Amino acid sequence: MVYLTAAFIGVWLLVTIYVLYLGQRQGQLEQELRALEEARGERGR
Amino acid sequence: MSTSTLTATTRPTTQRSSHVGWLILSLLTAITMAALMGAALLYAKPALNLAGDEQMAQRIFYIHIGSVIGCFVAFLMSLIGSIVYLNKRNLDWDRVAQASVEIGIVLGMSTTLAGSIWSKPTWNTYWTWDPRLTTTTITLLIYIAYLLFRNGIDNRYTRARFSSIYALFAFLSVPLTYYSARWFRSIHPIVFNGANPDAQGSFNIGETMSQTLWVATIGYCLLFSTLLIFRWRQLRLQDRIDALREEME
Repeated sequence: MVYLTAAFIGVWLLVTIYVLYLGQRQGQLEQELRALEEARGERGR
Repeated sequence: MSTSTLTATTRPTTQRSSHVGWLILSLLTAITMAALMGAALLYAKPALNLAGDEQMAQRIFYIHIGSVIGCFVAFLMSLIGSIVYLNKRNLDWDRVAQASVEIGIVLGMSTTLAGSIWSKPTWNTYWTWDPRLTTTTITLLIYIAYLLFRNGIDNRYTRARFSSIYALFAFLSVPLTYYSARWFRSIHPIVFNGANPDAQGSFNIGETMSQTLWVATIGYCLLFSTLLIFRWRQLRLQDRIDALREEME
């Protein structure tokens, strides 16, 4: 039972870490895009 | 640099419907993966030729095979993306290749981890330099090197061209890994199309096992597709930001 639990937890942990990384990266990119668009808008005025 | 290939076209209706499509796909993935967990742990009958820890650990097989199928599909997709990029020079296909490699590595690591834990009660060791395990490690290292190699090139188009060529050669390690347990003396069980007389820990597949295996195959393919679409869009957004930054400089 220990091996089975360890394998399932391990596999899901890897996928979860990757999904969390993607989520965090998405947040950073959206923030970066907003900042750039604002800066471009200010330059255009 | 061609802005049309780098920036996302603004089509709110299309974007909204594709976002809804992705959400439905994510939901389907979650349902299938939950079904896989239920089937692997409860529905599939235990292997009658095994006992104790080995019998219980046999259930790891479903996530191990699911991950390896997902990993294979991912690396195959990276090959397709690279071939199409080299033909069409459309960066969207390079993004497909990059996203596929990333997901393939995650699923490949899952495969190795699950296999390694399964091998302890079965082979009495977490790791052995068996041909299948060795070629799997080499394949993963080759694809990790692909990502490192990409990061070393600044120009977007040069990076895409060289990465695509690299991915073509990298894929050669995939069939080598698949056939390693058939071509060389290996203790790794052969599940599909053949038997391995040297295998330790082999098992016959019954009806409930086969059905669970199908759920695993579908679940992992859906997981790959969901992650691929998300990461592909993210890489597109990244390029859009880079293009904006270049425009402002």
